[in-house]
Amino acid sequence: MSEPIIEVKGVHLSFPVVRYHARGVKEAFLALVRRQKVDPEQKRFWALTGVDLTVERGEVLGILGRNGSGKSTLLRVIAGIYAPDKGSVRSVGRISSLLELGAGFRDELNGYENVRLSGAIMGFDARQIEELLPRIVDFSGLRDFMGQPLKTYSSGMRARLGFAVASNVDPDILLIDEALAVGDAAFRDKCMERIEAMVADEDTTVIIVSHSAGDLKRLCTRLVLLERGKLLMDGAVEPVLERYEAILRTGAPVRA
Amino acid sequence: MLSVVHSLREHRFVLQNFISRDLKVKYRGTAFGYLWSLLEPLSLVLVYYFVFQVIARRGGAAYPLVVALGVFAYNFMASVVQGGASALVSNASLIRRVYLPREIFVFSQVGSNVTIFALNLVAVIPFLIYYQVMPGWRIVLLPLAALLMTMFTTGLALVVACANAVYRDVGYVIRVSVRLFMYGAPTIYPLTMARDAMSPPVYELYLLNPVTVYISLVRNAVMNQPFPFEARHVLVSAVFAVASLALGLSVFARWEKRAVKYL
Repeated sequence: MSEPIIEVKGVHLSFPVVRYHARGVKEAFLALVRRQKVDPEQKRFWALTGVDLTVERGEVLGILGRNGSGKSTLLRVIAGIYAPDKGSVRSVGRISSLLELGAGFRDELNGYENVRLSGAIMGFDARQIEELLPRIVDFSGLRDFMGQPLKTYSSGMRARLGFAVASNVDPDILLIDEALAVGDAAFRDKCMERIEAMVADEDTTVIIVSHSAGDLKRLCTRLVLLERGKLLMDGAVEPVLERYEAILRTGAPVRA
Repeated sequence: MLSVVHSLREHRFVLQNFISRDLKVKYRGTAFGYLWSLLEPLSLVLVYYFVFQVIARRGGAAYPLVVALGVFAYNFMASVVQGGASALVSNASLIRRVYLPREIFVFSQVGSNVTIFALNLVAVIPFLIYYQVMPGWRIVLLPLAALLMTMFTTGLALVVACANAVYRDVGYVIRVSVRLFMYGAPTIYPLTMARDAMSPPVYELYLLNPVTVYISLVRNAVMNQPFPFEARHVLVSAVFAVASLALGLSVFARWEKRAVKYL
């Protein structure tokens, strides 16, 4: 077996808790004057606590979990957006991410300008972007709107353009965070087909966060279940889905 | 330090894109476009001309030219530092979605401010003609002055970018101090006026402020007037520039990962 394309080892990631940090100079000063001691652990929120995950080339991995279980954070750690407090993350090749809608799109710029900007952000130069442009425009089906500023687009249209860019830049790894939920049925179907083709033809590795059992069943070769920042289960699609549904039924409280 | 140069080379295309996007978005939907970057400081020039020269009868010959150069230079430095404060915060949505070396966001606003400063300097030409001021050999010091100003303020911008992500108050502190600080530097008056009003030791202290030296360098380089300070003052201001940039880069490298979590 070749080396894994993504390797997440013992990753812990914490965020500062707003109550203690985004509090402004005045309160920081007052706390200093009053010699208030805050337990350092109270200032942190551990979004991921010891996650291990290995993904092989060509896998389509689905991440399941309730709201706030750490799915999006895990994707961001893999994309390199957040550096783990403990543990390590390693990945090979170009990562194209569709985290929320339209990464890096600007309302004031038109469709073409936004595609060029996204291309530049992903590390392409001007010539490469011009080569990719027709494919992206074709796929989005938004040719007539490309000259319009993005603020005139509906959320579905943004999703189309976002997916068109993310899926047409020949990524080695494609990260998708619930981004398919917005488009209409026809476009979602087109996205699924595109993902399947990318995996089959280009050996792209896909990690997808979704709450749709149907989407996950259709696309994924493997699922992992996150709960309170921990990897609860890692395995074949059906058993993980069953476990997830069981968790939803018992309705254990969502972590504050 | 070297890794920053390397990542800049690697990402120069996205940097170019960000700069042109900044400039495009800034003026999109306005009829006057770039002119606004000129009209704003020019309106200040008008106010100071009126108060300083028409009412108080001070400032000497070609005073509007003196103020215009001072205001353009000071505005440039102030915009870089203020832009630094918003560099991470205003790009939060992008930063949380795609990985890019975060210095890019600070450097790109430095780039667009340099562009505006250069255009503003071109706009000084009519003043030069009107007051019949001929630039001379001293103009060769203009690029040096611009370089020092850019290095000094970029260093500050890097620190402020991280600080403002954690404590949003920092942005407001910067805004206020930039206003006040303007009067502590020879922005709206020529440096010679400060020299004549101060005792030599005080003037020596005053010249320790690198911003004083930068502004005066710009002004006297363009107007080809003798510099009311010595080479060692320029040297000190250059040390400030290098130290600021080095400090900024190292603080940024250390704090950027933590700062991003506050966005």
